[in-house]
Amino acid sequence: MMYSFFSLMTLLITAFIIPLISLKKERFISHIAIGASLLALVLAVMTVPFVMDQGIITQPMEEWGAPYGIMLAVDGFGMMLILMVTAIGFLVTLFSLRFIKKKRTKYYALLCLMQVGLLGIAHTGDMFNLFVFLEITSISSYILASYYRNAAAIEGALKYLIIGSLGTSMVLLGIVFLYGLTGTLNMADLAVNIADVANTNPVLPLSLGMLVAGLGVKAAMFPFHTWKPDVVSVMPASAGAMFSALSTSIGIYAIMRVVITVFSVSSAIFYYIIIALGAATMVLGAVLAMQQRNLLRLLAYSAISQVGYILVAFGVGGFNPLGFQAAVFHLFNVAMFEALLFLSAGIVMHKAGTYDMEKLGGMARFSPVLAYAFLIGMLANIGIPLFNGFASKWMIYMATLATFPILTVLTVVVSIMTLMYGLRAYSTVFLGNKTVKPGRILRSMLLPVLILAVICVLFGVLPQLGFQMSEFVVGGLDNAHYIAAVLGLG
Amino acid sequence: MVVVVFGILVALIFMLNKHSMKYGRKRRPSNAKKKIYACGEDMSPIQMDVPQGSFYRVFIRYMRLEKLSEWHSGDLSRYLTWVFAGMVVLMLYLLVFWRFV
Amino acid sequence: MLPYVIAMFVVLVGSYALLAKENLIKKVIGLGMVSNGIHLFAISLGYRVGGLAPILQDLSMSHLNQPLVDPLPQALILTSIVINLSITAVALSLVIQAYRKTNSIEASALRRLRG
Repeated sequence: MMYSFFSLMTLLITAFIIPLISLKKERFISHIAIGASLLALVLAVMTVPFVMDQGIITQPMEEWGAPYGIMLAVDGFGMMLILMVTAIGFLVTLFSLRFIKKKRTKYYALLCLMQVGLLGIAHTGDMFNLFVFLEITSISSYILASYYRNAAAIEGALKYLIIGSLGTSMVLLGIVFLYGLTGTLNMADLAVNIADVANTNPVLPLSLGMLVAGLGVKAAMFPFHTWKPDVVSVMPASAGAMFSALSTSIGIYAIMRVVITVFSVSSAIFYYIIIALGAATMVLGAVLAMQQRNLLRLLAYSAISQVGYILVAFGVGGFNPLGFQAAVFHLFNVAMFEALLFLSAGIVMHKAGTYDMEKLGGMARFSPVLAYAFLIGMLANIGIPLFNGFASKWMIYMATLATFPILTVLTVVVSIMTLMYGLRAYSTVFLGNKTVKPGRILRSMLLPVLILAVICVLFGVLPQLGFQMSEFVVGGLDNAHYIAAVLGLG
Repeated sequence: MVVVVFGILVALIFMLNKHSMKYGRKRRPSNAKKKIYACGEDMSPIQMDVPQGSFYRVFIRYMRLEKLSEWHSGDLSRYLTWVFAGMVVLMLYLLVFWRFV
Repeated sequence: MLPYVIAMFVVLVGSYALLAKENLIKKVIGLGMVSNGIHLFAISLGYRVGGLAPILQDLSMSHLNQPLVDPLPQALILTSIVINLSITAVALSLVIQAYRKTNSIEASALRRLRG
């Protein structure tokens, strides 16, 4: 029983109810949004036993099954992403209760719509559904990016719109090529048909290239990452947390789903270029983060660098299955600590009014708890033992050591560069000589930060949880199981 | 036995150093020693302050990575050209190597 | 073969307009042309020579032994046209806001965020 689909419907209905209710009573909007996201989280958690029991659960949308109708298929990977999206969505909505004071209708409606889009991509078993939900996510984040109406926000939103639309057009072109080749759009049916297509057909590599390029725009891979720092530095920090932690995770989930399930690429040639792009992304994110003045822009570049780590692990996974596990675990960890860092930056902005690191300083006197939380996030980013970043980065080191040791050297060097900008960020914002009076942070803003910090430490001290989770997810990525479950029942 | 003699020698050297420091001259470092060591570049103390963006400038010049921030200049057409070029490179690579998949 | 080549040509011209023109409105027009080209490509995938419109005329389905045009790309492209309509609307409203803030619609005026 796919309860998580009802969480999607709940959020969709909420996104449409919020503007209607705001005509009458505007005070209840945030309460409705909190209630809806809590309900979505509970429904998603209720689906977990079903997925762990059966491995993959499917639900046809009409009476026609696959391959004629639309099927929803949630396997272990999708379940992990659904939990991440609903959990971080709930925490961000809780944070925004006091962070966002004006234009609440627009903000909460767009936040709910963005969650709908992200959940839809995690649920779908159909390529065109993927495209539609990708567009829903993109459009709601285009509008959310221009929430503050200053010149910098308009510029960031416009650049993101043009680059992002080009990306989703490329995804559409790839899907159209696939349709022309096989005549079907269901992912499992495509997997069966693509295996029969001859190796010398030039349409297949073109369509794979288009799909990876278009989804790479969403995931912020190396040549397609240019929009990300501009956009994230002008959004409100809570939307930036949602966007940076979750959109990139969904982008990488979509790339892995297309490459592993639909195209079932098993040979090594394809993974070389993924490793190359991932290595370039890692280095680029770390080097550019060292030169930033704006705290949110630095965090955006650090997110880009971590996406590079995930891509390198994914590429190495083509040679050694440990790489896929490392990529999945690192995906989870990156979402957790990036959300933590962005929400802490939001609290800093709420108190100090600026993200400019030359004007900030001494925040540890304001609130030591916040300083500890930000430090936990930064140490997890760098990969210090006892935090979750270390467990997943250790798996990446092991995986690259077994295949290409030079990648291990590169990864360690980039970790050192992460240390360089991470400690600079922490010491500039929290330590220093500026006089800041001690104060209290509102509980609704502090609670999500504390929960995320506890999760980071939990997965660091008990990495067995993460290892079991990533083993379960990767065990379910087996193609034959997916095809049998989707097509066999339909 | 050797360790004891070694320890006594180290303690003697330490005591002599402290004794001579009491009667030593005032240290007057030269002007060149007071400047910040920046691998041959000239950087003022304001620039090397931690919150500044130019804190790691020496590292980046050493690794010859300053071109990277030039490429992120904010020009929309250049960003789109990168996206397009990336897509074309990816497609060409896959087109050439697909027969080996 | 010819419809596909023309559709790809429209996509290429649209992407030239997107990349090389400095005026923001021309960039939005280029974006629209790219999506129009993709829609043309998809619809010409569904065309069958001498095909009828894919509508059931009566429930006996006696006319189904003639070729029918494929309805699936048509449905997909309708969805995509609506999505592109909303993207164009958001893009143009952002261009208007950019004009109000910086008093120019050249892309080179939007260079505040750099590095």
